[in-house]
Amino acid sequence: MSALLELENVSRTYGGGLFSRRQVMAVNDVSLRLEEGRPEIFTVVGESGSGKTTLARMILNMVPPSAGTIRFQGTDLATVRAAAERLAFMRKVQPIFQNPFEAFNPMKRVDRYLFATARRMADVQGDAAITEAADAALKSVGLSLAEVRGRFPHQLSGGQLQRVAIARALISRPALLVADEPVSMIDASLRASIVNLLRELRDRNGLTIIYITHDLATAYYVSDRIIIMRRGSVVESGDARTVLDNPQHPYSQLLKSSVLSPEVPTGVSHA
Amino acid sequence: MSVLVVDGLRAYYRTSAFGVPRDVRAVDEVSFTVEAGEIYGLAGESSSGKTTLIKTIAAATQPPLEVLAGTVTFNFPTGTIEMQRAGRDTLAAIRWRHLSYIMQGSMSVLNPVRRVRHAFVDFAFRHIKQSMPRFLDTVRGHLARVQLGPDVLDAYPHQLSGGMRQRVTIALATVCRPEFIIADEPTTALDVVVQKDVLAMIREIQRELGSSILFVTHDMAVHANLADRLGIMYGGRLVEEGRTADVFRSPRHPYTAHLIASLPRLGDAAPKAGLTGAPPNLADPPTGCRFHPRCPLASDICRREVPPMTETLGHRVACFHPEPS
Amino acid sequence: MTGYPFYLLTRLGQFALVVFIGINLAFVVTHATPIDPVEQSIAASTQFGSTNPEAVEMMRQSLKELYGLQGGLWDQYAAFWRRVAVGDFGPSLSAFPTPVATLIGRALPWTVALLVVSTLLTWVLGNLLGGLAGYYRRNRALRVAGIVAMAFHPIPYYIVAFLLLIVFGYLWPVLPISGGYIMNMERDWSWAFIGSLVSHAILPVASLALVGLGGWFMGMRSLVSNIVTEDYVTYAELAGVERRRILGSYVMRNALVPQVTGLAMSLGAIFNGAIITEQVFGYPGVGTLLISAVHAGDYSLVLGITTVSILAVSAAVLLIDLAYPLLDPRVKAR
Repeated sequence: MSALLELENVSRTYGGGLFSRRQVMAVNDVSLRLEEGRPEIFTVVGESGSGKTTLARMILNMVPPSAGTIRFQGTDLATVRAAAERLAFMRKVQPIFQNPFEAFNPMKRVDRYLFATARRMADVQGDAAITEAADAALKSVGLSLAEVRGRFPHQLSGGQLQRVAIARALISRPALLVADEPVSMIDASLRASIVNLLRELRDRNGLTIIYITHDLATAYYVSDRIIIMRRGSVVESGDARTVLDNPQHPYSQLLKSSVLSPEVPTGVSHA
Repeated sequence: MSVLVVDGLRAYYRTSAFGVPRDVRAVDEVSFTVEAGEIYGLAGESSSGKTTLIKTIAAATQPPLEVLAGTVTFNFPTGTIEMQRAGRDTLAAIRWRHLSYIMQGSMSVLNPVRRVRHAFVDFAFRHIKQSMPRFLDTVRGHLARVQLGPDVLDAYPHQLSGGMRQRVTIALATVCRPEFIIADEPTTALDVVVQKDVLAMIREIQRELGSSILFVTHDMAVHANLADRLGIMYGGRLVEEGRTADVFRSPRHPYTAHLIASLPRLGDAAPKAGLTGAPPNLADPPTGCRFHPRCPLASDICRREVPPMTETLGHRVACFHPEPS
Repeated sequence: MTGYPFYLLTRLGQFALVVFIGINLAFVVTHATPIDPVEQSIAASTQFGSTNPEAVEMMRQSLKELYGLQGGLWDQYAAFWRRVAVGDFGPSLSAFPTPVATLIGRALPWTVALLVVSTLLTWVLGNLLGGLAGYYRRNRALRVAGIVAMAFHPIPYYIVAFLLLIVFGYLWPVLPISGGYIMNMERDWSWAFIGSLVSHAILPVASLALVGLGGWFMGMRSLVSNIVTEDYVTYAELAGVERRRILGSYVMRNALVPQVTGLAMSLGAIFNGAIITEQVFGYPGVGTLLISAVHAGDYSLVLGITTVSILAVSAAVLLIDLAYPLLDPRVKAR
């Protein structure tokens, strides 16, 4: 089987320039491999400072690794430099960000984003075809163009806006989504439906999704495989349920034991 | 006697755009009490009105937010205070001595350009009748309770980690041993490991001082682990309230029931349905029950009338079709 | 290396770099002008008398030595830096043979005093009023002050200066309109002399203040109205901290941080403004000297003034920069 995405001993340090004093190892020697034709939700779990966001940015080719190689469908990302190559790469690998209200310009109608993406990223020409592409993408996230047409970001709920962001990412028919904390800013009552949407996209659209989160409970619910990161390094990896049901590394165990269960503990006196 | 009595509170954001008045009905007809020594959890998502509610309770309302009806009354040992009628001096006298706050965003609640010591002096010195050196000794002793060394007094906020900063604000909020503490999402920005410690610390200090806490967060798991009683807000109204265990084990309002059922749980991968629709727009809320457009049980009466709060054995719910208790 | 020593070293490095580049530019620009000071001096002194070629050649050599123009460009460049190092810019051409250093030394105190007084006054007053106006939004007097400041701010400086001249020089002639003190007065630091200094400084300082005040006022007011919504201000208010203390220790204190940066950044522009001020009010400072040097084609004086100004402005910026970490402790950690 060929690899969709392959990271080989990838590291990233920050600082250490002419005038700075210390180097920060944001990501330290991370290797992983996602297979082509085997859609999955691959979860990266970590707390703040674990390097999970830096890892995402490297996979999105926004930051080059300091060491190691990242290959997407066999192509070394370090060689993806020309504008046309970058565009081709961006079509295949799309990001979804944490706060949809920051991802959209508050002064711009959200449908414009979809149209612009269809035109530039998916090479759709003609108004009718563009409208249709936008509508199709919105339908696949449970919305429709009629619902968002002419709306500004503040006129939509966080959940709706995150769906629009996902729809925008889907227009260019990517093979890989990189979702960095996509539900942490979403209200609890809407969170489940966004997480379900990720599962749907995997099962129905055959998308592979890298799901980056600090939340072990949603990770358990949604993931196929998981890596747990701490201070830039992977401390534990494997099948998500196996790892989370019975974590081996002390840090994974600490993380798991710190998760607050939404069950009211029995025996605690609630006056 | 209840420490806090909120009665029929209604607070709107009143603005006018081009002469057309516009009300955002952020808090509508909210009544509840908080008893001495209890942790009252207040849950709700964005636009539920919980932030407006605590602003109103703290008498920190500024235009365009206006209190249209209802009262907020605190019963402190030194007397009863009705917050919306109290003058500036009365409020200044109770603030921090009897009523303190732990705010969201430990990053930004301390002045970034001043040492931690100054926050203690500014906030608490006037209430603790001691000389400055004795006062600082008291503060150092108190910091030890939240496992902070005396040297944090000389640190600037940016030199402390997120967890340390939040412990500083906990120490700050409790150093005057107030009867009532309002905690607004105090652990939301913290990592899970730190969050657990901080919650334990809040619980411990609360028990020691016997204070009451109004604990506001959208995170139901935090409520499950901390709150004695729990109020659920939706669309500017309190829709359910009861002992935390009762609310979690047998939620009566369909919104609460859904909220609790859809919570992700470690070790549980069974499919969970999301709630359809979006939270209400409080500038133009749905008629009747504000949850009816999203409610699977909605009937005609729900669209016409606002459901009244009914109580069974200390478990209150505002719904025409409540789950049996 | 961490903390303040590191910060100090980078700032000193930046200072040296800026000064080096600036002085080089001054060297390049003055050497690129078609004015040849040596030939000008010769032309001036041979205008009336005889023109013995040998004598002229001797004069040329000694003038070249005086102006540091011997040898090739590199020799001149090296000589130039040697002179800068000891503060010798040769004789002035227009006031030959008075050394440039003497001329600048005479003019500099006037400019420094004028700028220090007006800048400090403007900055302190503008920030104070702006801060109060941002905090006490409903105070009527402060609102009026805001409107006045905003009204004055966009008026070009020279119009304000001339308005002041007309009002206080002609319509209601209570203030001297030209010079630094009463002419021919003995400079003995008597009360009369100091009084004359002050009365002569009022109009130039007032003109600079009127124009500068609005910028600081409006900047501070908008900074403050942002800062009052910061969590730490809300928190202090909820804690019942006195309003005066909140204004001083939480609001103004924090707003000063960007305003000090702003001051450092505007010093260059303030110096430029002084050149016009001194012209308009006939103030005997560096600006007046520079203008007359340019008109007279006084090559060495222009070079001297430029060098000294670059040094002075950069040094002032450096001083503010070095004080900055005391104001914002977060700088040290960066």
